[in-house]
Amino acid sequence: MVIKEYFEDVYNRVIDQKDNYEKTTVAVGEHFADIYTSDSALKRVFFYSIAHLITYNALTLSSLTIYCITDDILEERLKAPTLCADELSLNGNYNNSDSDRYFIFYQPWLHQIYLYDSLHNIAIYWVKGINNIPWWEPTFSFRIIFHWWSLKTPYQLIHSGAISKDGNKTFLFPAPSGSGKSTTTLQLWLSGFLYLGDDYIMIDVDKNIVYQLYSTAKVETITLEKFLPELKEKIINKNKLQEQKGILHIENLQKIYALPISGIIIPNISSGNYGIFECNKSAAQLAIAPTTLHHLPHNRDTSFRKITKLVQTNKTYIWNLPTLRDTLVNQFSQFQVNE
Amino acid sequence: MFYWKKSIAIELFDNEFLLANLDTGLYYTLKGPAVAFLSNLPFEDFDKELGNFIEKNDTSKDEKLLISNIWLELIEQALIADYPSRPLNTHSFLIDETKIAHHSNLTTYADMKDLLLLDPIHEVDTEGWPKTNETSSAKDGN
Repeated sequence: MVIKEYFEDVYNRVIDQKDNYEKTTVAVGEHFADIYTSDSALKRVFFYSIAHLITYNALTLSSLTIYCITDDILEERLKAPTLCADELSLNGNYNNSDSDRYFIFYQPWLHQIYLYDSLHNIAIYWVKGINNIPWWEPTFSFRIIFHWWSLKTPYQLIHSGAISKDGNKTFLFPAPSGSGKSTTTLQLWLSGFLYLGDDYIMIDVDKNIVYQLYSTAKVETITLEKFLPELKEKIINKNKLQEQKGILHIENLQKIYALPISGIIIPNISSGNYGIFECNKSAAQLAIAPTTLHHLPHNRDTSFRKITKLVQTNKTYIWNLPTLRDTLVNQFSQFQVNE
Repeated sequence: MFYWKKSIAIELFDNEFLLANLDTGLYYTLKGPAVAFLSNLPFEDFDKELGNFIEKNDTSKDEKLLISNIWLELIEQALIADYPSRPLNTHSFLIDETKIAHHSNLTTYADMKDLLLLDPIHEVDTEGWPKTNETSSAKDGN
């Protein structure tokens, strides 16, 4: 399949309906993205995790354009791209050997598709209908598009939480799912620390700065019961917890667009020797790169280099997590004072 | 001539190599004298190169065996390739040999492998989209 032709076909059909879209502008790092949605329900779904990034400044010059549409807006239903099995590698990554200008993210078991023209920074998210949106997609809206756009910039999305005491000392908490990342981040947030993200955050690897991106968190039910009981009532998908992780919307999020990074702490579920200890940088690279590059499979070599720069720039620690929240908060507070 | 395959990302952290096969999602850490030895890549003759390394560093027989086994594993994992000509771009590492671990060790991290082996092929309808909607049943989403 030639992605260029597929992109142009979809783009022309999307543009045909341009008078029917609603435009919203959001801040992405130091830049802005114009997001055009084809109906208000779709906008509601995708903006609850990025509503805090919306800007109403009419003078912004956007460097990224996103069209977010369903089949309902198109005159003809969209056909799936034709793929050869050997061209589709890994998790939705398509070997676009015909061009390095166009990108596609397509998982043939889902009714959605992402497309991107890196020359004009134009992206399209198409989903068959509102009911076909995978539950996780709006918790990190347009993640794959932000990743494509960032490839030519010093920005890099990474799978990590981020917490700050008062804006002066900000730490990243990278780790694979199930290693205590969300639990730690949310417990610290509940104890008064500033929340920058739980799942995906954006880093400027040249300036060593972290940017807030999403105001959502995802936690397993058992984690809620055991460590975050006061958040159980705030879960927005209570009746779907058999199939989905619990989704939280971080209310009253302080708008902290950017903070300098003080270090990287890898949460580690441990049965003893609790505390925060300096660790080898390769452990931090292994905490960030595999999951990030699995979720964001395009141009892995570029992302790997950026993650390496982030890790080389910062001190790295491992945190053998205590089970009691008070101990956890005290350890982190003491650590921040000493660092 | 042996050298690190072009598709392999290699970084040196605190005198340890971190190797990433970005196609398969397999990651490796390499410690010890094998790091110093493999920083000599590219080279043509493994046995000759290892012999020189052992003699120069007064390395033990046990360590020689460890490095040999690691070498075979790296070949098996297709991290190192044998090409007829010298590559244009080669890696260069500054290693502090006084700070490397005493014994060579190669560790593989394959946490992502199961995810990477997901079968994406499904029955499709006339428009090419999957016939069954599994979006609500899959507990995915990181």
